[in-house]
Amino acid sequence: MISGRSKGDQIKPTVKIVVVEPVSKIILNCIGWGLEEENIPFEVKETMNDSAVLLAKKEADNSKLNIGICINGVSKKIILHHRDLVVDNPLFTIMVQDYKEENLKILGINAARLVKGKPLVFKQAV
Amino acid sequence: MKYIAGVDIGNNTTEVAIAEFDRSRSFKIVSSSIVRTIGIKGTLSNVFGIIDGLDKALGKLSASRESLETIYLNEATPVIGDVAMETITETIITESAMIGHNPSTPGGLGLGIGYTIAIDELHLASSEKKWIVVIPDDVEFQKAAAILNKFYDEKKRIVGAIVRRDDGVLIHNRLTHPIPIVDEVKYIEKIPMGMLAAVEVAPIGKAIVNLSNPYNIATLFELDPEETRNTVPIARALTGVRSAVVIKTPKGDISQRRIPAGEVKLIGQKMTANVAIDEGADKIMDEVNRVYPLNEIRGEPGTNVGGMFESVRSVMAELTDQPINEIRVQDILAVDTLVPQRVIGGLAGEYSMGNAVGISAMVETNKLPMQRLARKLTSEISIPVFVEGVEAEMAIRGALTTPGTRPPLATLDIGGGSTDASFIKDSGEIISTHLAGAGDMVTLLIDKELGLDDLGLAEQIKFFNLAKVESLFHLRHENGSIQFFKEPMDPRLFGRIAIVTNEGPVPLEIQAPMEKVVSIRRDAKKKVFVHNALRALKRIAPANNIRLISFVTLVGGSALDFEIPKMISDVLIEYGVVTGQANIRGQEGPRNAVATGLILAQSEKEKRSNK
Repeated sequence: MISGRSKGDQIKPTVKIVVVEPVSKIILNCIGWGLEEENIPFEVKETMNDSAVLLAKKEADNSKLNIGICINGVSKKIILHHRDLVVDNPLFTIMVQDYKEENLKILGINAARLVKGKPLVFKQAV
Repeated sequence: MKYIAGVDIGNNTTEVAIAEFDRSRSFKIVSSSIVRTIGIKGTLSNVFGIIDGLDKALGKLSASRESLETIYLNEATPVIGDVAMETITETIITESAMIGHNPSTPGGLGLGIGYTIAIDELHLASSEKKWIVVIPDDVEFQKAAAILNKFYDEKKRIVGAIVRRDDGVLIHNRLTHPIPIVDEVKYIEKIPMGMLAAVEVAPIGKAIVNLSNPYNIATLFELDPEETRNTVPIARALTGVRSAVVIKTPKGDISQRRIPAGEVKLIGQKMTANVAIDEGADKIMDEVNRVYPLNEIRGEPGTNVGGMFESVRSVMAELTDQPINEIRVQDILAVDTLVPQRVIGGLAGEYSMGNAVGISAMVETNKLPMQRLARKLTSEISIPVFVEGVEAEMAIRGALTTPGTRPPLATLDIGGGSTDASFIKDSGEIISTHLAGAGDMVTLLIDKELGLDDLGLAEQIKFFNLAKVESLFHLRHENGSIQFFKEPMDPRLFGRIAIVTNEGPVPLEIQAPMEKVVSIRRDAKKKVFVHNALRALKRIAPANNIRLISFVTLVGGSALDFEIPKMISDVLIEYGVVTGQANIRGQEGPRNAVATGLILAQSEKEKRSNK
């Protein structure tokens, strides 16, 4: 388990990122940097392959922060889900062709901003 | 059944009242409608709006146009207004001297003072001096943090950093020794190197305390009293922000300059006066009152106000087919305001508040070509059309159908371009007045004060309540109540202030807190609507004394605004006046006053001629 670098109380609730390998380290890092810049801690854990939407939704449902992220290296997509949303309607989806540093960092920033209740970032705003 | 119709063409809406009558020709109003006015009031394109309105009102009776005997149009008062703004102060920075802005996430904490140095020149830095490191766009945070750590280990004294990207926290988290970091500095290449600079970052939820105080700036930079005076605009611009940078350059100077904004010339019946716009709204309005009654107001050519005066006059000239030199601006309303302005020479695209004066102008002429419009309408639908009755008189007659009113009664009609007021005495005599400044002026003030540069959006802010979107499923209205939704809202709304329009919430992409937007909206309405309501009522009241008016009814679109009637009522209560929205015929609310008045006037006229 890798944990976010944010300096803070260890019992703090965190944003959970579930990973279905294989996922390149840089993808995870970019999302993590987005969360870190916004000062929101996160945790990463590996899991068995399943639908990315289901996995993200499951994490969101179990999270105190209501947010779940799944990076699925098999189906090659990233899902950001929220506890209050229905399974089939995740908040953000990034498909493999859009795996760019900027997009990934923004996903992390937005996960953090959802927690903080601050306006989300949409492309080019950074 | 046979019918007659009264039609009121306003700047925004066309209103229709329909009355049925029997053999004794006693009229009874049975239907009404309201549609958007098509084209500028008084032009031929109005006809299509009128026909639409007639059809709507007749449709409610399942009647056709053939059952209409006659149509009466109001003698519309041709009043149009426009607005413009002159900025009278601006902040100029000669050579870069400050960066003060609010990146959402600066890094580190505290205050650092040292000399600016580019990150790729750190190897040349002496370990005697303290350094503020400047990190451009092409150095990513991991590399930047590594370089800073390396030089820190070499005993170089690094006390702060200025960063182009949104990387402040990421860099800070990787430093072995924490320093304050200001990030998202747009024009980082403009920062002069080798200059003394201070970087300050406040804790979350707090504002900086050192760089927002002129004496602390003086202490840090060892300034003399004259130099300290020059830091006032900097300190003011940095008040309330969470992070800031101030750089001292040899010739660096910040000054607040007054911009000559021109003059207006007030030509009254008894005297003439010139007043400079940069003297402010109070002075201008004092002069307007002193010179009143006014024949004409002229603006100085080459200024925004001068240009606006010209455009109002040319629109009116075209509208009424009169030569432009016969058209005169007869009233102005000036309002002081503070507008955010981009600081000239700033480094992060920062803003400071500049003073400005907004001016609204009004022109009034004798007659709109209503006869031309009446002929056109007749030719379109083959029904006799008559132009009957002065607008102000008709409005008063209509307003008097409000239950609980009697003369002496005044009506206030605050529209888009002008504020119109009429008063009926016990004797039945009616006086009316038209003043510059109404809804459009409020829209302009909201637009400028929030720096929106989008009049459509400002108009929506004026019309609707605001709310804060607190989750994907709920928002908090400005009165504190919470509204939940079944379906998730657009994520673009999340965390933002939204305008609660009839079509759903619309996001406002500004950083100011909701309370500030609400207070700007309310202040703009007070400065224009309340001020003008008093100005108008004073002009028409007996002996210019508002206390001698017993009843004031608010008519027209602005009477439907969610807060204006209360604002006006709050001031008028001090004069012992009963104020409220009119309720025409006990059922129409503040709408349909003139259309109703036209039918009542016709009814009386026929009764008199029968006797």
